Amino acid sequence: MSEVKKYENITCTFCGALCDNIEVEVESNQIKKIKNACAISRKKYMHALQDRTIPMLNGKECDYDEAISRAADILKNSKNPLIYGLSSTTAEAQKTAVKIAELSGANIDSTSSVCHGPGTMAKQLVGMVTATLGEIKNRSDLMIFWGANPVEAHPNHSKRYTMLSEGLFKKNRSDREVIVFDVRKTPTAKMADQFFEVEPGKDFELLMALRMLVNGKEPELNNNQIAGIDIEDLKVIAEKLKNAKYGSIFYGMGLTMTGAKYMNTWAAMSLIRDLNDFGRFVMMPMRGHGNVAGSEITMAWQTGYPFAVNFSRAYPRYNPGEYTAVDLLANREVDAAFIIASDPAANLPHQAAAYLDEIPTIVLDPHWNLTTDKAEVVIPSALKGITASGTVYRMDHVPLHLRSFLEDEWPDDAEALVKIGELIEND
Amino acid sequence: MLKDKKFTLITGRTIKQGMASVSGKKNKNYKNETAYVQLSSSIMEEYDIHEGEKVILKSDSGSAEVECRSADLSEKIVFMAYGPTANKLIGTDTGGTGMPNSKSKIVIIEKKEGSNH
Amino acid sequence: MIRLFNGVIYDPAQKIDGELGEIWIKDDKIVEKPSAKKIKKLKAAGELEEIDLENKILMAGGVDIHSHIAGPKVNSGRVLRPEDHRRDNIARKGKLRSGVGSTVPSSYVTGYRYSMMGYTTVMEAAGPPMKAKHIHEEFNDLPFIDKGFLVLSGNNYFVLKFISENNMEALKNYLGWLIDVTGAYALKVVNPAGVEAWKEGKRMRGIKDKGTSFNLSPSEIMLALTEANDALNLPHAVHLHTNDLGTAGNYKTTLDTLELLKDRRLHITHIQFSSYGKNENDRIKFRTATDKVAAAVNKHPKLTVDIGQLVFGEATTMTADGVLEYNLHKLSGHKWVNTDVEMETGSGIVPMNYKKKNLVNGIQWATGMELFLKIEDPFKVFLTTDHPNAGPFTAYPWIIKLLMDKDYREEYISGMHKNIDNYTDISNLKREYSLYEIAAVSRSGPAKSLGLKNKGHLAPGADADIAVYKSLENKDIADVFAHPALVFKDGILVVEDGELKSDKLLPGRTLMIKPEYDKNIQAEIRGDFQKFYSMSIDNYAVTDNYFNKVEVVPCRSKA
Repeated sequence: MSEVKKYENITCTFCGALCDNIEVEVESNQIKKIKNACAISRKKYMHALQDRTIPMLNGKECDYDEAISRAADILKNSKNPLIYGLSSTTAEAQKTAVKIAELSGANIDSTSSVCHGPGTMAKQLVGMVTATLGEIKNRSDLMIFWGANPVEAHPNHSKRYTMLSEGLFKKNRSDREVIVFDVRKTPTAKMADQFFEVEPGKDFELLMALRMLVNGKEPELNNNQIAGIDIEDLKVIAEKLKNAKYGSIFYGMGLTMTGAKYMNTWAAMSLIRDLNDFGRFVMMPMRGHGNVAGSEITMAWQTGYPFAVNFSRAYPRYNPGEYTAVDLLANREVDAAFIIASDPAANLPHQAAAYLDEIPTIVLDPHWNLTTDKAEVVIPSALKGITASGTVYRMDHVPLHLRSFLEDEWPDDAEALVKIGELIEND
Repeated sequence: MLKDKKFTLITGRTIKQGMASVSGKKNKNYKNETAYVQLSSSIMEEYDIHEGEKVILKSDSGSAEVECRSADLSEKIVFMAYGPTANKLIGTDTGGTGMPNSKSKIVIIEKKEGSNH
Repeated sequence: MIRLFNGVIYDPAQKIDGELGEIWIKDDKIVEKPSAKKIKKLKAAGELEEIDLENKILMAGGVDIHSHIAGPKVNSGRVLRPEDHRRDNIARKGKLRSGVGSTVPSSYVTGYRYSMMGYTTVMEAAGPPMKAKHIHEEFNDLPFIDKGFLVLSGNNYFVLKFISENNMEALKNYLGWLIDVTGAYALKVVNPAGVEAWKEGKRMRGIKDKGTSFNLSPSEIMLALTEANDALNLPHAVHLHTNDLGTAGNYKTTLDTLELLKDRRLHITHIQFSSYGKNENDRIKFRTATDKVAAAVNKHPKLTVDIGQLVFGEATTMTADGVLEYNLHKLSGHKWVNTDVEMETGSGIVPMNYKKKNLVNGIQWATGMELFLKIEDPFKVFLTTDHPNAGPFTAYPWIIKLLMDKDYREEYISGMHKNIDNYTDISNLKREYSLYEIAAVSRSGPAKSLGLKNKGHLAPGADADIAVYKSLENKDIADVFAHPALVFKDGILVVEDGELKSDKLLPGRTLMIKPEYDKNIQAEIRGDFQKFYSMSIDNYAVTDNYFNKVEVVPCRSKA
């Protein structure tokens, strides 16, 4: 009989909520039981050991070291490569990826640029008032979800950190008022006390109108509505915002992906900032990928900048819109791509992803995905938080250490990147 | 003209898309969970589209054939789960931000040639 | 071995004031001069490197007792300010990684620039415990210097809970545990009670009133923490950022604090920000109140302070004192970051530009200078800019020049606001620092205050962290201190003629302490922790994989 081992307080790496209370039972190097995981997390663990990549060169299986050395050659021989992805790998791997970018004069960008990157740009304009998730759990009496749908994207978020959590000063759902702003009535909206349907593309106007009302000014009106919401309702909302003792707003892609992009978040950040003249109010981006926050953090301490960094001059330069993945690919500016723990063929606009077919592309990923189909080199790797350890940063920048609890035949991302870096450096 | 009616394409997460995305990106289930569009029932009626019927969505950046499902949505928007199908429509203009129009692309709906029910 | 000879040695720890002498280095330590026989043997074997310093200045490597160099707040400052970095680019060179500089440099560049001034040890000034892993991750990318961090504990839930329950034993054990599991070096206390008040949407003033849901006054918290600090025999005193920091008239709070803790070991940090008088009927509310503060500092037997000298130009203010940054944002209108950290602390960031002609900025500058010149014992007062709050650490050479050269200081003041003398008495101060005193305020003093027995001096047994500066004769003082002739870290030559050697990226050590405490405290706090934190206590500790090169500094021997 093989032994059954139990592990507690394991961290799930799927989303930026990084629940660290997962319990697993393991037998014969297989996951047998999972507790506390959400529906997505459960699938993730159950599927983790299937559909695993193997080292490949031009569609043919090869040795691991051969794949590594070809990857190094591609990066060495390209004039302007792109290193992209990073949000689903460890901080240790992210750091090493930055070093490789520096060594090969590459562009380096994370999925942040198509996620909360615009929010980070807004922060650079106006700053951000924020808190850790436990602070919000403990204190927040008014919770707002704006263009965010954690019920489907971060399923355990509300139970662990917000509406349904037990905090120090706020004990349960009835201690908190919850308002949702969205263009559609999401499952999250159904959990709220109030839902306001926002006209698509009108978030900026709505946020600015609320900011005016909060500051005692009347917005100009055409039909007594702003973004499809009655001005009288807005006045009531503005009063609620002002009267909150410790308000919180969680915002999602509903702000960063719509027309005004970073200016939407700028408006939200400005509103939240102003609300601190009345009570306390904080905000938080609902970061999607498990360690996308970490990708900004590691890049920032090494380069000074959070994403969209170019090393063609041997020092870091930053310019979203120029050194961001979608732009570099769509404008056909790069001559090789190294995709780390990401699937741009599924997640980027199709014309940008299609360009990967035309340039040498390296993929480092434990699982087959749509991008591995486009890759000249596929490098397998161990599974973060299952067969590989490392550091991940939660959406509120709280670091967590991943412990591995299963064996793997492949080295992890960090080790693969260190090897590639050494090959480039010692050339 | 019905055909010229414009909708804002909202792409986003669904729980099933999330579950499928971690269960093998090459599996049919992932494709299925990312290849349908949600429309308000009144738009379905107006266009005479039945549940499960396939239509063509078009934007200035591409087109995609998708299955229709009715949902509690405003008449101004259509919704698709993130994924390769939706990304045929999104386009690469980032307005100098790095971010494409993933929740702000204008699309039109075309019925498939010869579709009847 | 290495022999450095013909150096003019300034080592206040050994009371050596400019004596010609030599230093012997073996591996990473300073050692006694070997016997004649041994020297002969070394020479014969080609194992002795002799460097003629030609009367250059020889000091221990610099020690910075308070600087924000790594961790979540610093990094958030980096992200916040692309405009801070854009014109200050450092390309990759040899083994040296690239990066950016200015007031919030990238981690590598922070290491380079300290080392290029002859500094070899730096204390990160404020770390939130639950993000300690982040600090240690950055430490591993912060080369050439030894570093540790001060763990924030003045507004911590368990600290406040145990004090309010008058449970001193649990408080002591909890603090020991906190230092242990976060890999910290000392206790940092920021605006005790005031940060919790900010999170509760309240304001406090002074140190006597109770104003939070924990029903404790700042005085009660400070008394308990200084007592626990001594009970744990920590090498450094409680490192205090006072209440009411940055406000006009706050010198009274500072004096009250010094009176309250008059018989306790204490370090008050960036005391410049805590030494302002107030003009009730003037448009300019600020004035210096350094006579009273310096007198209290001079009188206190167990106190050390660092200045937090203001530097004109760009700065990035960042502190755990959340309400202070809110006030700075309201005052300046500049962009503002605030991060409340559950159960532990707050924090904020606001960029600033201090202007030479601005009267209030001038008063702040003069406050720092006056304190430097009025505090008598150079072992009590240390050189800092509270980097990057009052200015970047790269301004130290300029501050040394201001302290050493009265004529330069007077000329500089003449270019400031014309009414500066109405609010300050800097123009009346004629004192000039000697090189001996500079060595005290920048090396020996801070090392002693931190309890770093192997640092800040050149006696045998010390770490071979050494700075050699050109002789001051006919040279600009600031230039001399900005471009050391030689810098040794751990006995390895890392800087030559003001330039970093690019053949190696030398990792520094992480300094930490391991005080004795009752480990049962973890079980005692487990219930509340699991309920009110957002992470598990089992994932809280910084595990060994985060430590590359650690030195555990011994605690004080029991009294």
